[in-house]
Amino acid sequence: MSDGKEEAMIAGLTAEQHDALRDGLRALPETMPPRAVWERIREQADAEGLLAEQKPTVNRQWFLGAGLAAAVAIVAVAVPSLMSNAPQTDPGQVVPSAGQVEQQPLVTRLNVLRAESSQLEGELAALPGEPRVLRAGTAATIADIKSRIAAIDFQLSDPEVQLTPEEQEIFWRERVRLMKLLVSLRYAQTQRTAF
Amino acid sequence: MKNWKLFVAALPLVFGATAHAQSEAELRTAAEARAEAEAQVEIELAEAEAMLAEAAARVAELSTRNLPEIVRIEERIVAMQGRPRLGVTIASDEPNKGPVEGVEVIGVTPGSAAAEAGIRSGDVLTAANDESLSADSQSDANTRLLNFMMAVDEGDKVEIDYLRDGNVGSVTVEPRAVEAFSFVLPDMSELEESIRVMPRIVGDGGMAFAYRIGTSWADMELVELSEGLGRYFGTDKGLLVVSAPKSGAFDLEDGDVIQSIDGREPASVNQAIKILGTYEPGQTIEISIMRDKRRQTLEVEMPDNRMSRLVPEPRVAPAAPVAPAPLVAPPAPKPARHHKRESVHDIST
Repeated sequence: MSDGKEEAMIAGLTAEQHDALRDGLRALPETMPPRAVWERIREQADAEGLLAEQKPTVNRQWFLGAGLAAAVAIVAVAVPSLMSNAPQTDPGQVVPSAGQVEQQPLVTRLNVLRAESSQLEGELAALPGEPRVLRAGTAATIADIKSRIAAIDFQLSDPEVQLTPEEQEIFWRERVRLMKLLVSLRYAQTQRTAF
Repeated sequence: MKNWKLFVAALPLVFGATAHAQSEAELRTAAEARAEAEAQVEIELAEAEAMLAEAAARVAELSTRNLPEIVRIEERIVAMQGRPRLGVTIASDEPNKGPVEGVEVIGVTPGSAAAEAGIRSGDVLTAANDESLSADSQSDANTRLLNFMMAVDEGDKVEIDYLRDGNVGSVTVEPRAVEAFSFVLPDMSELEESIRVMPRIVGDGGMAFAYRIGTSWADMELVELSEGLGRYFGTDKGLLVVSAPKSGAFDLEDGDVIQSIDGREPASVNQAIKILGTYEPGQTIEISIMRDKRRQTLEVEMPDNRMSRLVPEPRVAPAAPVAPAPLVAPPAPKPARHHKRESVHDIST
């Protein structure tokens, strides 16, 4: 990550948090390219039993697997070309996996999640606008995901709600997960260029 | 009718070719081959997008299912209906941080007023309509912004000054009202009068927040009619059906132009999807269309509409086990008449 982007991303941290975040990031593996975003989602969802919650009918499992594989394919195709136009995206960005994040102190975990969330917002903003031709299912899913993120933000910013750091982590983790879904779907939309 | 699609798809290929290098016939063959190859890729991309959307919808629904107090969140969203919001998440107070220049943004809700105005995470909002947000503590700064927002009405425009990477900036934001039902869609206010609001049973399993999308019509592709396309289709408004549902849902065909749905005229594709999402499976819908430059009304049935909820659907409690039938004592052997008589005699004595 370039110095400028890093500074922009962590500008709001205290010196102590800055150090904790830096140490945490240094302890993480070298890189995880953005094209692996769906692999991360799948692994995280698997680890948390989200996909397992699906009733194990053969067809449905195949469909989900095919969907995720297709998603990876789409992102793999979409991301390299888009990255060059995404000012806030750094292909060398260090992104921790769920397991690695778990081992960090809570403050660091929260800061990493917020930083990742901020980066995803940047990636989303860097994408081209919504295509003119819209597939109904994709548009509805995007609207659904946006509303779920809005609901989480509603909770995170409600002055009457005092969330514990542990609760904050849950909400930020889900926000990041939803942002990844949103970015992936928007990437997929940009690949449809019939008109 | 389908020729117009091939025509439009082939245009860039035809114009992009270099005429001086090949004969006209070769050029045509090459263009057709490329158009065919690109059409195949387009089909595969469409299939991949469909699977991606389906998987993403499932992951999204599951991911928010176990959030703490999700029912209460939905209740508060309902309670806040109509209140304009910027769409930013702000940093909470930090002890001993001291004076601050303003409110620190740590999250911008996608699709919100703040996102569209260009506010970013990391920005420090220093003033709203020239009212300074600097304060002795982060908490005081946040309170200033919240108090300011309490006085903002829907439709008001707010001038926000901010700091970004040490630079001062300013944007105009038009906060949007919270909508319990699809509260981040920018064009929902236009639909308020016409859209049928979904049932709300907040606090009782929750239904205030839900999306519907039918799997049989998820593959439908629409585009807002432009002036040029409008001339071709004989109308100046509506949504062009680029690809009709393959299931035959709604009896639509490629090239139809949707003009209204039960009298409601969708101004955008998202509005049309939202309107269609309000119907229960089996409900009858009148869709007014232009087909072959002639107006028609299709009276169709909503085939299916899967609901995606914020709050999980209340599970139907298993039926209480049926209490075992009281044991019926076998009839006592009929006493001999003389025994009964003896008994009566005993009681009365």
